[in-house]
Parts: sequence; C-alpha cells; structure tokens
Amino acid sequence: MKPETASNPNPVDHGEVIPQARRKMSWAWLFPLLAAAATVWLFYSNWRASGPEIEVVFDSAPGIQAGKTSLLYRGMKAGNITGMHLDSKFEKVVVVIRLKAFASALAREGTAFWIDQPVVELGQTSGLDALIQGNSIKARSGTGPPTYHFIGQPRPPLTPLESPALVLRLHAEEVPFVDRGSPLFHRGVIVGQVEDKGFDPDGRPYLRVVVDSDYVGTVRANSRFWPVPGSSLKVGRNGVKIDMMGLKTILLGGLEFDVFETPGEMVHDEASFFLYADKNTARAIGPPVIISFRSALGLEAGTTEVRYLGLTVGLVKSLAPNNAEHLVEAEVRFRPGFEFLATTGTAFTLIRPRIALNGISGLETLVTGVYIDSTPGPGTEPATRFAGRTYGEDGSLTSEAEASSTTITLHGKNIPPLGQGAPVIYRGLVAGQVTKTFLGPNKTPNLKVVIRPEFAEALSAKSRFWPVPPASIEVGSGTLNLDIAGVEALMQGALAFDEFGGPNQADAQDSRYQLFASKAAAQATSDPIRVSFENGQGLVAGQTQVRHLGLPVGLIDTLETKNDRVEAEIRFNAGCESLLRKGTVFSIVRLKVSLDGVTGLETALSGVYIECVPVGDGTPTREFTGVSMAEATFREIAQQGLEIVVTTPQTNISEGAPVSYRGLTVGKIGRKVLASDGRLVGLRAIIDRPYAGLIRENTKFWNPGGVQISMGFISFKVQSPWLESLGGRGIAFATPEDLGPRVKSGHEFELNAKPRREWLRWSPELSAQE
Amino acid sequence: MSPSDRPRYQLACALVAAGIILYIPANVVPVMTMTVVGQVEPLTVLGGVQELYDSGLAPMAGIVFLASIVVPFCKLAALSWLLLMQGSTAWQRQRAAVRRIVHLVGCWSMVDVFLLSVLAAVGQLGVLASVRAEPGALFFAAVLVCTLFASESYKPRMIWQTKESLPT
Repeated sequence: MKPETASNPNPVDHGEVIPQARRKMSWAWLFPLLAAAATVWLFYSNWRASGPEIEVVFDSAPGIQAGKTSLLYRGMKAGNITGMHLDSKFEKVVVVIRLKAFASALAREGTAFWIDQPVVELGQTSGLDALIQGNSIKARSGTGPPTYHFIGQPRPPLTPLESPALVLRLHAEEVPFVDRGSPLFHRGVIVGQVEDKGFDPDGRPYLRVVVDSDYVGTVRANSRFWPVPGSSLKVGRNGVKIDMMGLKTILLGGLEFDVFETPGEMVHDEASFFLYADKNTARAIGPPVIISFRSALGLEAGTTEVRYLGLTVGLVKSLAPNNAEHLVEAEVRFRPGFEFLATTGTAFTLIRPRIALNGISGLETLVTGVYIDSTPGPGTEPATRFAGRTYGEDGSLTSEAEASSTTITLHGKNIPPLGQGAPVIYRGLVAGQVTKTFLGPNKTPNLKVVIRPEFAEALSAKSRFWPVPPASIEVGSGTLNLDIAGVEALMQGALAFDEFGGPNQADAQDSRYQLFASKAAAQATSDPIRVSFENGQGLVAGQTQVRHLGLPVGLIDTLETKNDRVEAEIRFNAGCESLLRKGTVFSIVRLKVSLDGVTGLETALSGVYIECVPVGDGTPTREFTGVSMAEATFREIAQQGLEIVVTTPQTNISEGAPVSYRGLTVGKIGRKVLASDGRLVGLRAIIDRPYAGLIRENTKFWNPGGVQISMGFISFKVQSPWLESLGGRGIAFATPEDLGPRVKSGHEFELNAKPRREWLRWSPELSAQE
Repeated sequence: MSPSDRPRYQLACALVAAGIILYIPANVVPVMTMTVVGQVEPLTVLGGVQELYDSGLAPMAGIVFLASIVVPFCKLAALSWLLLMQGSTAWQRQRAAVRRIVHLVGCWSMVDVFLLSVLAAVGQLGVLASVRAEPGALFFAAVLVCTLFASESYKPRMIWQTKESLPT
C-alpha cells in the first residue's frame, strides 16, 4: 500500500499518507485489544477465584471423580477435585483438591475431610443426599497453621459443622455397651454423644465423648458419669416398674452424668473422668466406711444399699474377707449429705428375709434385695469402722412403741396362718399389727394384736375382727369382684376389724375378741335363727349367704341334720331383723334350667344362696321351714294378687304360663296341682291385683291354644298364642256384661276347651264397679 | 488494493486477530454446566464432544467436533491465509473458492450457539436436570461473530487487487 501511495505520480498528493494510514489502523485494532483484555480478565478472575491446591489422603475414595466431584463446606461448593492418584505404595488414594479462594482458610491443620456417602448405622443415618447427588467430599474447618496435606477421616464426624466444643475421655474398668452416636444425657437432656472407644496405652478401655457447645457448662470437674441401660426393671415394694428409654438408647445404650455435690469448676477439653458402673455407684461418693459382718450372705458389692429411715443413703462398694477375725468387711460409701451417719454410735443392721417360728421379718427384701439399715446413735465423732449386726440375731430391732398402744387378744376356732407383723387394717388403714400367735388355755389359738394409739377410738366393744384373704373372688348377682390385697397382705396375710352394730362382744372388756372366719361372718351379728330344709345340697356353713332382694342380709352359721331335714342356723346382719317374721319364705336358689328359661344362673359361679322373702306381717319368730323355689315364687306372687283355681281334666299348660284377658296378660299360672279328689288338674292362677275385678263368678275360662288364622282384605294374620311362652300356652278368660259377684281367693273355675263365639264379644264395663 | 478497501482490509485483519485470541478461552473455559440429578458437570467444548463420544454417540460427537472446533478453526485459518496472501497473484482462483466456502459456512456458524441457547432454555427440569450457559459460550460466540464480520468485510475483489491490476 505504501508503495502504491508512493508510486502515485500526482504531484499534489504528498505528505499526508502516514497520518491517514495510522488513523485508519487505530480503531479496527481495538477488537483484538478488547479480545485480549477480555481473555486476560477471564483467566485472571478464574485464577483469583481459586485458592490453594491441597492433597487429602483417603484409604479409599468411592464415588469420587476428578473434575466432577465437589468439595462441600457447610453445603457450599468450596473446591473441585482436580486429580486423583494412588500413593507410591498403592495403599492410599491421594485426592487433589483445588480450593476456591473464599475457602482457602480450609487449608489449615485440624480441618477434617471425609467422604460423604450414605451411611445407615444403628440409630444413625447420614449422607442420604449422597444417594441422589453422588458422593462428595465434605470438610469441617480447623484452626491450626496452614498446611496442604491432610489425612481424610474414615467416616463422617458426629459434629459435621464445627469442631466439638468439648471432648471428654471416660475411663472405666469395663466400658458398657455403647456405640458411636450413643447419647449422653444430663438430667434427661441429650447433651452430647459418644464419639469413639478404644484402649489406652496401658490397656484400659476408654470412651471419647463429645459435648455439644450449648451444653459445655453442664460438665463440671466433679461430674460423675454412668451408663444408662436401655431399659430397666425395678421391683420394689410398690410394684414392678419398667423403665424404657428412647428407642435409640435401647439400641445403642447411653451415658448419663450429673453433679451430686456443689458444682465444681468448668472442665477443659480432653478432660478425663471415671465411668461408674451405675447411678447408685456414682452417687455414693462419700469417704469409705468399713462395716464388718459375720456373714456376707446376701451382700453384693455395687448393689446392696444402705438405708436410713427407708431412704437409700449409700452403697456397698466392695466386700473383702477379714481372715483374722472371720468377718466380712463391707466398704460403704455414703451419698453426699448423709456422711453424718459415719459417726460413732450409728448401728448398721443387715436386713434380710427371715422366716422363723416367731414370725417373718424383712419380707420386703425378698423383692428389693438385702439392705443395710442404719440408725444414728448418740455419738458424734466421725468413725470409719463399724461392727454390723444382722436383724433377728441380736433381738428385735423395730417394734411399735408398745407402751402407748392397745394390746388385745383374738381367739377363734381356727386362725389363719398369720405372720408376726401382719398388718391389722381398719377401713383400709393399717391400724396395728400382729405381734404374737400362741395357743391359749382351751387349746384355742390366740393372736396378740397391737393397735396403734391413734386407732384406739376405732376399737370398741362392738368391734369384730376377721382375716383378710390375700386374694379373693367375690361373685355377686351379676358382678364379679377380684380383690387382691397389697404385697404385704399377699405374703403374710392381714386382719381387719370394723363394727357393724350388733351386740357387744362378750369378753371385750378384758380385751379378748373373737376372730370371725370372714367378713361376712363378722357382719352377721344377730342371734341365730333356725331354718329347716328338705335338702341341703350346696349349703356351706360360714359361706352360703342369705339374700333379700338380691342383697346379702345374712350367713349360714352352722348346718346340721335333724329328723331327716337339714337345719341351718342363720345369722343376720344388723338391721335385718324385720325379716324375721312368721310367713317369711326361705328357699334355696339353685341353678335351674328348663324350657321356661334359666334361673339362678349366678349360682353357677357364686354357689347356691338362700333367698328370703317376707310375706305378710306375721309375729316375730325364730323358727322357719324352708320351701322349694317354685313354692316360694308362688307365695310371693300370691301375696300380690287374687288366687283362683281353674280345673281341667288334662292340660299341658305349664307353670308360669300367662292368663290373658283380650290378649292382655293379667296374671299367670302359679302352680299346677292335682285336685283333691284326683280327677282333675287344678291350675292355680294368680291374677294381678289391678285386674282382680275382672274375675267374677260367671267368668268363663278357655284354652286359646292352636293357631288362629284370620284373613283381611290385604293382610293375612296368623295368631299363635303358644308362641308367647315356649312349651306352655296360657289360658284366656272373658266376663259377661252382667257382672257376677266377685270371687274370693281360691275360687274354682272350669277350663273350657274352646271359647264360645259370644264370649269373645263380651265387654263388661268395669269402671263403675271398681 | 484500492484506498477505499484499505479500512475493510484493516477491519478484517483486526477481527481475525481478535477471533484467534478469543478462540483460546472459548475452548478452555466451560461453555455450559449440566446439572443432572444434583451432579454438577461443567463442560468445555472439547469436554462436551468427549462426553458425547463416551456415551456412545460417536456421529454426534463428530458433528459437534466439526461444527464447534474444526470449522471455527478452519475459518480462522482460511481467513488468515486469505489476508496474508493479500496482494499476491498466486492461488487467486483457489483463494476465491476458499472465500466463497468461508462465506457459505458462515451462515451456519452460529448453529452451535443457537443450540446451546435452546438447550439452556429447554433443559430446565428443576431438581432433576438443568443446563446453564457459562462464560465460555460468550467467548465462543464472540469468535464466531468475529469470523462472520471478518469474512463479510473481506470482499472477493480484494483477491484480484494486485499491484499489477491496480490502475495507476
């Protein structure tokens, strides 16, 4: 171009070539300049956004791909995997990571790198997002000096976001079953987790525990740790208690800690603690006290408790024989606050179950285990050695203050096998206890009972005593009552007393009372009456009840046979004397199954009983004759209505069948008897009192048996009266309009086979006459 | 060359130079990021070809390789050659043919960029998959734009404008 311009022969054209050419060149060449600038900027910004390159060594790197896998820090992409290679020994994988600029602070000592992959462990699941997104490498920042070589963690740390605030080491003779992730409790709150377990250089096992940063303050220098069992079964006097921790604890176990004294100083990282065997052991931290016993029977190191006023105040830590004195020395430690028991004068007594002729003691230890009871004495000087005693060997330890109590004697033909110390119950309260059993003068067994002073008023001349069975099933009419007394009564029986009116106990003045066989017997306070029965099957003296309107009112006291009849002596409860009048019907209620139905079903469970129905207002008497159930029922009904007799040569109408008037049942057949001359059968029917006016001398009775079929215009009706009561049809009657005179009780009528047509049209007006 | 064509020639030269510079980052920096079920994968042009080839789509890979790498490269090379040969009388016919081919191919050169933009728009399946254009795509497009304008400003008559042919 320049040559061209120069070769231009035009003389006018001169001197302007170079500037013009330069001006033309300048703007177009901005493009490559811009391109270069953009490229440089791109590479520069890329370079600026990337931090240092680090190397992390893993045992294996599953699912990690160079160029694709990311390094995540708190969920943010903090770097890229730029390369992977094996180390020189082919044992490890070296992952090269290019950090992003903002994450270059991760290149510090203490930063943890781990491969995030799905982990499903007992009680812990992590890395589920990796199932979808593929594995990644995650990091938790450290705080050490810069470094570029790291050892990868074999599995995710328990606290993936930040380094644990407090790591503790728990030493133990034997670590309990806990696993990584097992919770650490403090008063029920999960404050940390078990991270690791292993062995010290000297072979002792240890646990590493991580405490969450929020709860660092809960761990003090004098905190005590113990393992929490997944579930525990506690058998105490008050029953069985099953304690279940959460599912996680059941699966993984757990640890708990607490401070039992005034909280100490805060602890530093990597502090060491001892892991106690259980909570009781952890709590017993007082100075050791040696108590020697003659026998270690029942004592168990780490389990046997020391009690004071029933409270657990310490624990037997260890047991060692003292060969010189043939004793067993128990090392006891008290809980904080109970060290005052370690003073001279305190008596330590080993309580264990003892069954001897003079009674049973320490019974609760059967379920709660043997324990050591402590009773502080007058001494105040601290002591560390004590001679223990064993209950029962050195005389009675605990007894009621007998001086102010009332002591009474109970006698009976038969006393239940009650132990010494068996409770005496007054309306549910323990009012005293049995102190002694002995054989009295007339070979009658006797019980000595102490009643506490505060119950002295409850005891009177009218008090009646009876033994409480450990468990009883009471079947009333329609109810079933299962009664189980408490554990103590179950083991050693109990007595109860109350007053039910009735006469004074004859010899109550000299504190002698009769012991009745049962509560029902104690309640039956009246003088005995005699009832004779034809058949005494099912009657049991002392058990068979007498009921009135379904309620028990008395009890058979004795049974004997006299003149081919059974004579029952019955005592009534207080307030039931009005039943004892002439005319009162006694009948034995037994289970009876017939086509009419089933009656007395409750006797299948409760046994037979005697039903007593007062009929009429006779004079008071004490001698009765029992009748059959049907007769009793009839007498009862007869009292309420008009009794008539309908005679017929033969009938299949059964007792209890209805007597109907125009289809309305107004009475029923009570009894079926053979007429006196034996030619006819008499149906003794009872007409209910309101309908008695319907029966006149000219009333006609018939047997409505059979099937009546009547056809209407649109309906077809079948009447079959005998369906009313299966197996027995009733009888029907009608009375003409010209009413005859009223009948007296026992009037006889004839039963017609069929009604005449006009009978059915009779409709007398009764209201005027009524 | 005629004085009136000198700016054209300058512009073509400058654009080709810019194209060559931009060609480097366009092939080094990822052009797009594919996120498939959470797995983030940044792809360069060559990486994309590799990916296609690895997934058994060899013909596809070939096409993309041709369209995205070979063709732009050849265009830049051809334009450079044409511009360097300016004024020479050698290969004039061949140069005219080459220029024609370059011009013709230029019509289709933006197909890649277009494809990427469609892919980025369509490939938004929420969590399952997404496609996002990266800065590389911008550079790639810039290369193509440079070559387009360069071949546009390089007129065929320039081939024939030699010292001898110019009127004096």
